Amino acid sequence: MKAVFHTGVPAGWGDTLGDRPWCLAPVGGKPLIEYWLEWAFDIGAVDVRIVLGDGADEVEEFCGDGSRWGLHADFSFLRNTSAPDDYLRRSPEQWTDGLLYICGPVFPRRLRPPPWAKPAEGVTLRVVDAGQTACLLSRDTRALRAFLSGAPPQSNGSWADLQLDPMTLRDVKSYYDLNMCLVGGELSHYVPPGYLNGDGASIGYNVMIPLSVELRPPLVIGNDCRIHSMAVVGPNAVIGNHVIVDRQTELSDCVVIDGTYLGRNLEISGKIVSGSRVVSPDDGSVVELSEPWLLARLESESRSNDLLRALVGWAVAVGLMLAQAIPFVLLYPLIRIYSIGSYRLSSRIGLGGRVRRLPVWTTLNSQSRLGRCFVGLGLDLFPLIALAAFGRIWLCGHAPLHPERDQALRKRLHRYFPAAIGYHTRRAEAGGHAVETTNALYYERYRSPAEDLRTVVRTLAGRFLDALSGESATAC
Amino acid sequence: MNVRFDLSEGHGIVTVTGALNAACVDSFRDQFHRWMGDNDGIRKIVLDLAAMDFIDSAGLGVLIAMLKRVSERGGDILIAKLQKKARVVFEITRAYKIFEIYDSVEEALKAKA
Repeated sequence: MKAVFHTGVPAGWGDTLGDRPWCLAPVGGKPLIEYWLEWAFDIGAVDVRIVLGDGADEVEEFCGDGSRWGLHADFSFLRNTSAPDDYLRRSPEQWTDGLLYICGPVFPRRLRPPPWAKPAEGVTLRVVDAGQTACLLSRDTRALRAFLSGAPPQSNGSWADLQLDPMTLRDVKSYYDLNMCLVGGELSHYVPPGYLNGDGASIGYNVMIPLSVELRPPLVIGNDCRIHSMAVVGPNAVIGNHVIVDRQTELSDCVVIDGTYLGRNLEISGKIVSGSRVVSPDDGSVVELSEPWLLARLESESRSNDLLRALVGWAVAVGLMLAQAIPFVLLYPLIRIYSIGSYRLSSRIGLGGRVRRLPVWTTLNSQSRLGRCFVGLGLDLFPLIALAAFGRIWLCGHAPLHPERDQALRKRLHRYFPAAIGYHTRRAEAGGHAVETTNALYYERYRSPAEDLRTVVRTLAGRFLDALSGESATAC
Repeated sequence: MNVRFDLSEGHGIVTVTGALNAACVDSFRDQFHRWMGDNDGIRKIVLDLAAMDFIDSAGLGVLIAMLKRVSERGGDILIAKLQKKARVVFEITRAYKIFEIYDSVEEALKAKA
């Protein structure tokens, strides 16, 4: 028996809860995908294939190799243009011995605590959502072959026989209601043998709760949380991991997503809180608060790496500016006189999200030796390097983004470093916008002082060698 | 980095071994373009990345540029056997949305171009 979990199917309600992929949305304090992995282990589907989509790196990081659940997890992709079931049809012979297939936000709701019955030989059970198979559990080779060849499988049993009632999470309300059901008592259906949940309070590891805090079960508190004095938590509060609840704040009938700071004297009831976002489960409306003393997303990322990058970058920028100043002053008038190239000011998103007009070099005559020499010495970058030396932009980082054209990319980047030099200033690849996007996302993840220095050296040395070999000058 | 170019039933198989990074992308690009020039009729190319242990943004940029070039000729580049380190780069940069990625070369060869 094998399991295939498709996490790349879009689920609109997941976006309203924040940036994390919907399969990692906490349900009763645990990510949804963890319930799937536990289910797979429970029915003996040790080989698990997870098809990744948005937030793929986070999903893989969470699941690891699956050994935490006694499973062997592997990962695959499916391009957006393909139908979700197409993944199974790529090599159908793999899945015919028995399959647990989840394709979308389906919660395996248990009707009673363990032990649970295992699916019998020849049984096929299916959950349909909007005409598509959202969940399939089958130990019927013939039915699986039919499904893999395109025919919709027919259920020949009842989920209730397995003490299950799989539930499709269609919207924020169903997600909220499920959390309230779990904290209200159903969580005991998922407590493994040997553990008790008698008082209705589930509190994780490394949680600091002063004596003056009032806890009113039922409630769920995740790991690594800080609850400050005089706070009142519960009833029916589901609090995720890494949450800080400040003094005198009252929480009831609410879901607080991982990594949230809740400020002082707040009263939160009947809401989902995710970072600085408050979601109303009834209509899915979202209110984003900009005051970090009320609500905020807690960031675990260390800034020391960026501080070091800034220092190294600034020192190198000053050195480069001084080295280039005289050649630039001598050559640029000639460049202008012979119309070899010029700068034009173009609007770009600068530091702090402010739109600035930055000089962009354009080569007008790529055959000119003087032009090749100018670009080969990196003098076309001089105005931007000077801006980096004066702290207006970074020396090394992202290509400065256009305020309108690059809006989607800017939203994707959690940290943005508009810079003079970057992957964009080396030899241009013919991939267009796709290459720009991958470059920006790659740099965001792997930035370091060493990577910055490598990029600066490669850019300047590459331009110099190109000029020597007589290749056309590239415009940045 | 080593690259091997093979043909199988009219489809191209490009096997990359080692790291595909800024230091070797120029050589990889040149070899690929030469091979494409010699095998003009190939529409489907499978990149076997089972032995590729590292890829950086420059390597990914070349793959995207190659895909663009092949797509313009009505073909496609399929990726097979992406290993963990390279897979993480594909995940972070969302390059998995650009390429069709398969678990094995056989699966990729079976797929419709």
